[in-house]
Amino acid sequence: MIDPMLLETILMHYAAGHLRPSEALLVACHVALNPAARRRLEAYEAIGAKMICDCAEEDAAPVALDCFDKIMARIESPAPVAAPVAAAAPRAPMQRDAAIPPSVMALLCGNCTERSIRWQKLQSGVEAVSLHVPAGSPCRHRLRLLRLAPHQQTPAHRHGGREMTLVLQGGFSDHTGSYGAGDLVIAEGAAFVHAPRASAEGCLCLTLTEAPLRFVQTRIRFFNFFWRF
Amino acid sequence: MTMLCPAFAFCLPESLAFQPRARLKKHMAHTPTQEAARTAASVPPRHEDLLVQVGTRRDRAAFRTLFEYYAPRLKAYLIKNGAAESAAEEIVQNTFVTVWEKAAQYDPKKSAASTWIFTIARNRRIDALRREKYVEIDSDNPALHLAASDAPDDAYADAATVEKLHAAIETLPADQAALLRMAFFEDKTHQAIADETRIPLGTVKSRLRLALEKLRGGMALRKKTQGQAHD
Repeated sequence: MIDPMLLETILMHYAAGHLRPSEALLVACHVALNPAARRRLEAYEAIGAKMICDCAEEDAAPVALDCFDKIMARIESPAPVAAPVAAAAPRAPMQRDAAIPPSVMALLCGNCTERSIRWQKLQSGVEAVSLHVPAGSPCRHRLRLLRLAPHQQTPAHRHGGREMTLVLQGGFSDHTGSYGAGDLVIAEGAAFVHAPRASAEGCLCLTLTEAPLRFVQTRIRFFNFFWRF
Repeated sequence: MTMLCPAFAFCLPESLAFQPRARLKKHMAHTPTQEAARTAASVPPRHEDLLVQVGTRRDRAAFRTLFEYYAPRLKAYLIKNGAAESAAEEIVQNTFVTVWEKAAQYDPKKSAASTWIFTIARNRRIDALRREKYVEIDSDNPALHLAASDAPDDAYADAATVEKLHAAIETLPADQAALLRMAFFEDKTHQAIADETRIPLGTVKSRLRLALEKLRGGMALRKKTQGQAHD
């Protein structure tokens, strides 16, 4: 099912800090393109802030007496910056791709390890680029850029888990509706089968899947073995 | 008892107040640099003003006031979310070092001080506990700021409009508010919530859905499908 409440749930989980890096990147791209989503996310972040502020004084955990002094000492003599986070490895900046909106490109450059966008043809009219977002622990999400030629239809497929698709340029439609740039479409459930078709401008999107897609038509099921999407 | 308590606090009008005034006044007595910010009625400065002073004047007294208010609350939040005592202390330190470093970028028109500090704490928590970097929307990249400035008048999170949201939260029945807190801010699965609250799983899900729908309605957002997500 495509469930509009799922989108709210995802925005809230971003606000609370519960998303894995590739999911968080997808949501960040969504709000960068979509001011309405950005406002909703800010609202959820305000709820998180309120939860901290509402904490009654007797419930608050006192910090160590020297905590403030330690902070001021660090501010006054900054220690060499440690590199604890997975994304800290130096790398060449990712090569720009003109079709990708600048705000999304900036997020991809800042968070993915790829150095360039190298499109790979999956079938006629369908190209994809796998993106890797460093994570502190193993993560089964697959993040990809996907490009469909105008009017191109993908074969009917289902997913083992959740599929999130952010339209970057152009649009697509399936039996649930039509989607354009800035829309984040979340499909979930093994019973959900769709065959998206690109609009007349084609469709450039960022997709995140939790499990490989499975084609449902018998004659192309053998693709399931090697089109691990 | 829960630290972040009584999610039912959601439902109290008092919970609208971000600043504990008595506590702020205590610190203000020693901070002549902030005297100017006070009105004749000796209303304590808003946290937003304090944060701006930290950013523009490197005002340590203002910084300390913010620290004394937020640090124990943040620490309680972190411990409640699974951080050990020492890790929580470390994250609080990292958060305030970042607050100091980034205060110059803080824009009170775009966000309430509490929201801004919360997002920094959230990101530092993930750095520390998961050893991975959270994807931050407001990086220093001008391309992202462009997107943000598209709708400066519509910013939802500034201190004044945040109240609108809180009003929406306050209309939630206590049971829904409590479930929201557990599901979204304590990261509990629906099953874990069902086990803990002894509410059947189906009821947990339907109450969460109701709560979210009310919030959406309360945020004056048009009921719309994903396909029409643009304003």
